[in-house]
Amino acid sequence: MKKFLELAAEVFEVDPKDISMKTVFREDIEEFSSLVGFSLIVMMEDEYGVKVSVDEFLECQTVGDLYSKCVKE
Amino acid sequence: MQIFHIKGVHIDGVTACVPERKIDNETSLRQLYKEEAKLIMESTGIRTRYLANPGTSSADLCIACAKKLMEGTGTKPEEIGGVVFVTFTPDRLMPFNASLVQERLGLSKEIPAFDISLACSGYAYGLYIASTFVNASGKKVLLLDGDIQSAYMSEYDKSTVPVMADAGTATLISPAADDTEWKFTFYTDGKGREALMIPGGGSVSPAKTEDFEYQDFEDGGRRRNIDIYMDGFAIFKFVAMDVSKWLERFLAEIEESAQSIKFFVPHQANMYMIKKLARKLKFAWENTWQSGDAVGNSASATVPVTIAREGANRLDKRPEQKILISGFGGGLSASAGVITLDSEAYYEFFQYEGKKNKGEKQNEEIS
Repeated sequence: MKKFLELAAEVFEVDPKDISMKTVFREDIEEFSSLVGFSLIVMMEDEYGVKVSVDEFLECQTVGDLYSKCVKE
Repeated sequence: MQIFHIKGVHIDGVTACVPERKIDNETSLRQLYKEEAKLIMESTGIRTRYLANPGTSSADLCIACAKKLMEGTGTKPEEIGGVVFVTFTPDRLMPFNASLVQERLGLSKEIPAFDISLACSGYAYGLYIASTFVNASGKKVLLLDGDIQSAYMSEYDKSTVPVMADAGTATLISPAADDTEWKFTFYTDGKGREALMIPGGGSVSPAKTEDFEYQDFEDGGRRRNIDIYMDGFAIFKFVAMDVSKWLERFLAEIEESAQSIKFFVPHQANMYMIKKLARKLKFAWENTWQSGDAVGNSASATVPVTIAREGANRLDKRPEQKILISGFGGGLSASAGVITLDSEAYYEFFQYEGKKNKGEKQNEEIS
């Protein structure tokens, strides 16, 4: 979980301490854009081997929602 | 991994131009993205783009560049031993652009002249192929690279409008006595060919009346079948996952790294993507040359556009400095090369003045 937060923070370009599983990334991350979203999907596939479609990604609201995709598989 | 080696060539100069219309990206995106326009502009990092006036062609831009290049390097038409033209938006589907270049620049008739149809990966291909002609003939070769993407862009398309632009470039490659070696490699993944394409108008589907009608697509795009379609996520993924790892392997294979190579000149897909790519390859952002923020993504021309804009300021005199160039996009296709450049070559970046005034006259002056 800690590793996932670190990886997500790296994508968001924020300090890992500034995010949690409850972070609603589209609202809470100021710099969030579709390109940052693409980066998250690529990170999840690269690090966890999980293929998430753009539609599935759009359903995710929080960092925790993303994490649950990675641990489910 | 195949490595293609070339020795005994030198880049004598690179010139590039942007066309007539300067577009403020945030303003242009308001129609499509409303209040999100600023966010989109900031996320891609592309602040301005340049688009051609209707009727200005890829050959017009590249020929204007070639004239400046020949003038700047003191090269006479009879010294040119070949023309290679990289474009996927030639003036006409037939004949090819390089024949027009031969005529307009008054070059010898006894030269090889041909086009290469590639999108964003085109420049390293052009450089490698032109260099093989230089090596085999001992003559200088003119490499032109430019596209008018705006001729195939829907102004209502959410994926292409924020980034795409037009530009023309010219590069002069000459035989050199020293044994500096360039190394290239190429990558093709045809399975992803529909991620970036123009669906209508090819021989598989000759243009029909309905191809000229705008249609609304699920991706939020509104375009015609004769317009460029881009699956932004597929391209992003290709670059972030496949190209980045392939470039790491290329550098390892040729025993080079961000330490041994002075600068990285990536295709200016968008600033966010190339920042990520540079970081992955461990190139400092200040050693990664940029032009896309100011002129947009003009397909394969972005690499020579960036070299023409930055070369004179960023390079030192000979001995030449090692540069990693790489293009990636439609095909899916990617190319990369470790080449050498120096500040003694001629570099110029300018805005094309248009056909009606100076452009036409310049054509007559040379011929």
